Amino acid sequence: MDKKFQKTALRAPLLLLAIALIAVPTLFAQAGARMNGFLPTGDYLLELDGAMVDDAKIYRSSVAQAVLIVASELPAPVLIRPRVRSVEKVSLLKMDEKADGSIDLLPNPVYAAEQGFSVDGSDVVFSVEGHDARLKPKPALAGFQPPAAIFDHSPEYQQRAGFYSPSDAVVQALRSQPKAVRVQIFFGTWCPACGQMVPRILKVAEQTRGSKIEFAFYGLEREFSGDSEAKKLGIKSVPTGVIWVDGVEVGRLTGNDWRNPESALRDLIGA
Amino acid sequence: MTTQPAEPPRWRAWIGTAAGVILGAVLLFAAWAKALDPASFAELIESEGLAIGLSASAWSVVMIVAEVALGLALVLGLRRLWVLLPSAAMVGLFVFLNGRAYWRFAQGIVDEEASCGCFGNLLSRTPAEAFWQDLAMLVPPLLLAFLARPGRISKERLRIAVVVAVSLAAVLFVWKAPELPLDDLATRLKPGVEITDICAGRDSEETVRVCLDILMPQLQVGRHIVVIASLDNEELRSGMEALSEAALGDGPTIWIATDSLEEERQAFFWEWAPPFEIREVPLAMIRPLYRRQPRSFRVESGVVIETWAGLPPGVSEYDD
Repeated sequence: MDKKFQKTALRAPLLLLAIALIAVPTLFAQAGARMNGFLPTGDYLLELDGAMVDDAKIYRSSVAQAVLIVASELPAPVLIRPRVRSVEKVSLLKMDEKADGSIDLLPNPVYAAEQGFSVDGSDVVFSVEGHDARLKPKPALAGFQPPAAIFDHSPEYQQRAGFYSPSDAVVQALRSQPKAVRVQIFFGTWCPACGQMVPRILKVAEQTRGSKIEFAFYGLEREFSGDSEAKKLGIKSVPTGVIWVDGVEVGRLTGNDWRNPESALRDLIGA
Repeated sequence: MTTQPAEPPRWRAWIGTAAGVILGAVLLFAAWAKALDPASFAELIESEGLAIGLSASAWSVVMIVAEVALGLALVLGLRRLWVLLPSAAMVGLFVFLNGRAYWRFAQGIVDEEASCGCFGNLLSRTPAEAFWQDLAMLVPPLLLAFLARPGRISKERLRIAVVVAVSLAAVLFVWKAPELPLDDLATRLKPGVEITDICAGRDSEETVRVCLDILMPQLQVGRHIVVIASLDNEELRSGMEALSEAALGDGPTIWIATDSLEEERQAFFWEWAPPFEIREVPLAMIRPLYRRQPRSFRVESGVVIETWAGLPPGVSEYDD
């Protein structure tokens, strides 16, 4: 009996040590992973049981190396971590939405794990409480679009527009110029250069609102040779801005003009 | 009784010699530019459909060494028919290829980046420029080099021996060039270059010139490390852990510049979820920046500070 007790007494600490060796790093991994900096992304749409979820918001965090999906039709926000192939449900109370629209997750945000996910062509497939969910690439924005629709489709445009500071002097010159100017921007939400440069002109449009300059934004599909508006104006590449003064085309914003679109615009209209 | 053939006028001999030297120098420069990056030249041979009977790599060695041999022979004054006729064939081939690219470009079959890479990555030319420049630089000296060919050349055997020796050395150089640290010399990416000068295309009615700062404006401010790689590159994939760790540190911002398609980029994200951005850059812009992928460079305030063959070594050493 004594011997048995001695054996158990010896084994217990070893067992505890083993548990600690497994559990502690796991706890540290959860606590150590920085689950913050989730920014809205316009890359995907959410489909649940075959139906599109209109109010779904999809966030991506470089720091957390994860994707967060928030939608009223989901039982809980969903966190996908590609590196560990995990799909997990997150407590709403552990979400801290910032004024700039980004989200930080508070420590230990996960309360339940779902099965992993798979990649099916361009789609990401997973399930949440037995519901089939699918992230699908968002189609390109096409046709004339107000800035709000562009920001809604591609939240990254809004973030980048916020970072751009047009020259105050040039904006002032554009605001006070007396000619009737129309600027039509052709862009594609699929186009990397547009993603970087169109937010700049969106910012210029915002800062010259109420002036004699009218901006219009026209989205094109990846294959746009058949688009009538693009064809009519001979658009070969995006982003391209076509500029008319008093109804007469005076020039185009192309290529490296986008570095400082407000300056290029001022030069073209002679403001 | 035999009569000596009349000596050609001296000025004709001078013109012939000078033309031979000029043509030889152009061929040697072209060979040097291609020898720095034989793999890129092999890609061109493949795309032009010239890899007949041999692999494109083998053809690239043959062509470069032939160019060295003929160029050097002409520079050394060996204006023999066995030098001039193959030189004429080579010039004819270059002019034909450039003429074909120019015609295809004019017909809208290819874009303007499809000009002959006869000067490797060292010169960027449109199809029209490549055709007219080659026509002007190669054809007149070739024709003039036939003028007043010398009957006797002093130390001819020694000159031939030099050509043979240099050609053999060229074989060795072309073979070993990919392993030599010549990236800065062979490509347009080197310390001191500004990202506003890394460009593709030209402003014309059909095309526009776009530079790297349009696609990656963030490089204009702060410190960055950019890795140029296809997303299926084995070296990149095996270095992803280290790269991700470095990206999560306080060091320079890390980027991947790739010409991989959107679908590949998405698949890569769902496999690795990298803590850095992957930015699409057209092949026309990044192909002149490397000999072999991955290639990396450090940028500070829009200026290239350092380059590396492969992934950046010890990224953490740039931590604050």
